[in-house]
Amino acid sequence: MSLYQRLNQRFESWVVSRHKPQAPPVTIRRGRCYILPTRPGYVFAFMLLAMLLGAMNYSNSLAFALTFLLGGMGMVAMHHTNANLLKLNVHVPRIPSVHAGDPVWVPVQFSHSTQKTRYSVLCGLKRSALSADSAVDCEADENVLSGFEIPAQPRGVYRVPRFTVATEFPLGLFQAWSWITLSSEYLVYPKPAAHTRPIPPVAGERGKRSGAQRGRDDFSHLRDYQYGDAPRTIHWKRYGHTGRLTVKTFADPMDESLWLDWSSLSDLRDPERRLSQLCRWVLDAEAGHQAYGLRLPGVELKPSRGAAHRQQCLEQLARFGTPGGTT
Amino acid sequence: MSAVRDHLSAAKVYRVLAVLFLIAAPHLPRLPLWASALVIAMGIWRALAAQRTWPMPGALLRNLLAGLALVGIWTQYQTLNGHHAGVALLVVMLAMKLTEMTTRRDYLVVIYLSYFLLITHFLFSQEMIMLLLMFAGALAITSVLIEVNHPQGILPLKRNLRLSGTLMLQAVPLMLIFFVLFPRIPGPLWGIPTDAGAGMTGLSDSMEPGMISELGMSDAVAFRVRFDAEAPPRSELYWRGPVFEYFNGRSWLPGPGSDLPMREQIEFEGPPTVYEMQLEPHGKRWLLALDLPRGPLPEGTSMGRDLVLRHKWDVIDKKLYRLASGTRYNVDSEASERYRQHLLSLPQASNPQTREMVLSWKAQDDAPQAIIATALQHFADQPFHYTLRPPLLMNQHSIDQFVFETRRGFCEHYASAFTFMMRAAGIPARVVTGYQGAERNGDYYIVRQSDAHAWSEVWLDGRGWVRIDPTAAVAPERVELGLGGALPAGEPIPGLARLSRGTLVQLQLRWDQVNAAWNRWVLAYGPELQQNLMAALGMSGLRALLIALTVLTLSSLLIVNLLVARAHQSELERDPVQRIWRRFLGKLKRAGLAPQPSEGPIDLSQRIARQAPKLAGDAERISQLYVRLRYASRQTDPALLKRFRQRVRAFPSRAG
Repeated sequence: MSLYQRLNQRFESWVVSRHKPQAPPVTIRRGRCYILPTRPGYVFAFMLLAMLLGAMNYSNSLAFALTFLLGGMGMVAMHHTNANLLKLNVHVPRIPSVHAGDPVWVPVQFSHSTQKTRYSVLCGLKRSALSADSAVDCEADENVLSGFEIPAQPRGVYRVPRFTVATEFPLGLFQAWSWITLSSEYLVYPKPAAHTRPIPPVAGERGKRSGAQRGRDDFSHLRDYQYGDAPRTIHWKRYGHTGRLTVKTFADPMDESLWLDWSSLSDLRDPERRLSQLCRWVLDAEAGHQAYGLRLPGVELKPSRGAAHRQQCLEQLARFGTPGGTT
Repeated sequence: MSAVRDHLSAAKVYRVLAVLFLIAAPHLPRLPLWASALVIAMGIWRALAAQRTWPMPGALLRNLLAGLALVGIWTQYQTLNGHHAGVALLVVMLAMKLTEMTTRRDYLVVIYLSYFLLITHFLFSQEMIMLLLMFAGALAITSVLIEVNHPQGILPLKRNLRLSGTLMLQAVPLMLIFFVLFPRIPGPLWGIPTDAGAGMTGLSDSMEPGMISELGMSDAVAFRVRFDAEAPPRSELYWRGPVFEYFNGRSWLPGPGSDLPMREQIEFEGPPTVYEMQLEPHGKRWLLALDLPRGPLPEGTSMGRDLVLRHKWDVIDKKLYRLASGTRYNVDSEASERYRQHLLSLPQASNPQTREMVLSWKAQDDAPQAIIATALQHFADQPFHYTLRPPLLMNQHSIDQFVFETRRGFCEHYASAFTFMMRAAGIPARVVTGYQGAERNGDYYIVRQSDAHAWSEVWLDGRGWVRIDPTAAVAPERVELGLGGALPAGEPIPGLARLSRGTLVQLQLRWDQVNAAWNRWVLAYGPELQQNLMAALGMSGLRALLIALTVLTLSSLLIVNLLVARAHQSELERDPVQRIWRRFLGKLKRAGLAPQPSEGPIDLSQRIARQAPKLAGDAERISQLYVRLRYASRQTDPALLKRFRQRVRAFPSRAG
């Protein structure tokens, strides 16, 4: 176990050193595609050995023939498994941002321009944790969407971890895989605080309306996702069913503005708690169809509203205090 | 009740079950009825369970069922060892496995076991038709293995079969290479179950009246033989099989120690007859040989005191061996007194009438030759008949009954009676069974079960063992013409033993030639044939074999790799124009004029004109051809393509 694990580690660190992060999409090349027998592959080999011994014992020519035919098929299948992955384009479209505490879904899109259909292509964080649910078939000149989940992480900006694209098709005796290292990033917004503090009053004549929860239930209709829409409004259930991003829209917003200010929360010592509170306010203000601005040390976003604005605010909250925008 | 989600959809489960049935079906007639019924019931139940999403039974019920099945097989066969019991166990356990077939692992177990089940068919038959079963079975099992590894949805059958068929076809060359070159070692590794030869036809290890006449009805091939030179005349074609030295009043049995090593010195007259035997399996140890083998014996064989050639193991596979034989010989040995007594022994007070008659002959002339002649004369003169349908001999003194009452018999009756007479007269004698005659078919001879025969051997001082065929005294045509010529009209004769030949018979003989080739080159392929083949190719030794195996395997895998890569080419890579253009770009790169990613063909040729004026003309023409081929029309003009290729080929790969 220890020797195998050490070898595995050496191998992986060697591979990591070869992989420079690339901008998507990437194409899986021969030099980046690895292949090893699977457990059922070893069992198959063991079965062939038993068959061979039987054929020898009985000097049975047809038993020899079948054993060698199956052995040949195993060897041929290795080449097919390998080719099933080669020249496959792997693209990660924009990764939907999430709040801290929620898992991140990384969409992975496959395509290729060769004639052969690619069957049962899997993706996942680790080679040992590839789910059959991620398996997709990819016809020529077709984009197929799959993806995998990253467990919940704290607030911040992250680069997509190195992930695995693999296949065991056709016979499951070998697993061919490639590690994909991308430069794509995703944001984890602060976790919204509980509804304990109302939104501060608006600096205007209609300040009474601050903290209103109105509009939350004023769901009006669904429309296609557009760049800039807040992830919170995405209809995830529908995405799960259809693979298309749709957005929930709400009734017309009101004409009000307020300032959500870092310095107004000086009683909270922990900066993360302050950010969580600001996050809550941003969400509530947006849901209340109010115009709102955000003030953080060194950052000021003018009052406005709408999905794009909300996202900008949340992004600032996610990036706050992270050197160069990344953790 | 387990609530595990089934790894496969119902449609896939049906396919798995159909394939399992295909693989198990040829075994069903060999299984006890209850086991066949169980297998079919399990299959139907599993299909319904898949359709109606019934839960699988719990572990207790499952284990109980499996235990019951195990006990059932044990009581049926009294063993779990041996071909029949083993296969029954495998089939029944596979059927039991259907009750817990839900996860991917379960399906893999079932699929691997069905590969195993497929191979067991060849223990029972290796006819050419089994090759078809092998390919069809491997294709079918592999197609469901593909489904198990395709979790999304069921593949259309046609597509699935194309995938598995491609895998199989590409594996066939590897199979052939391994079949021919994988080092073969002789003989069993751990022994062969005792029931291996059960159900095979052939001579028996005892002889009772009626036994050989039963064989006489069978057209099955006993063996095929190919003579190196001219075949001996038909009347000398006595193929020696089991020899019987002990008579219990009804049956003839092998004598004690008859397989002790031979000590006799044999002097042969005349040149040896060299031939190659292709023996069909008969489940016993003896190897048929033209009367007496001489010279070195094949590996793993030995000759016993009864002059029968024996193999180390039961012959359960087709055997190919070469022998040299002599038909005229002189066995020079002093039979020990004990052995002599043994060869004279008869049951006390049996068949008194025959004994009395023989003693009366002996009183007239006690020279052994005279007694033999009288006995044969007796068969020839008295109204004895040669028939495949002899009356049953129920009497306690069966030989008396035959010699004095029924007088109708097949060769075993005559051999048995004659040997009895000789022993009664004090001449050591024994019964030899085997085959007599052969039928020419192309460049080889067929000997069928209907050629089975029995004769006698007597020991004469000074001459040793002498073959006497009493049947020849009754029906000389049997030896000259074969069974079809010897039996009286109206007797049922097996079709192929008849003298007249129809088209059907001719076809059957042609088919036999194909079978003979199959036996000779495929089934009998083993260590010896492999060595001969290697020697013929000028290679010898294990090392040469392994080197050839490695080189051929790697090169055929390389070809497979190229084929697969070709199938996975993109349209761009497949386009000849693109291929040639890329070659041109490669030449430019080597010349230090590496093309920029943003450069189109026209920009490129203009840049070359500036940087390397000497190449400008060629480069421009090539670029223009490329543009015309690529954009001018949909159809590629072959003449233009040819010119394009030539120009790129002629383009210098180094500047200056």
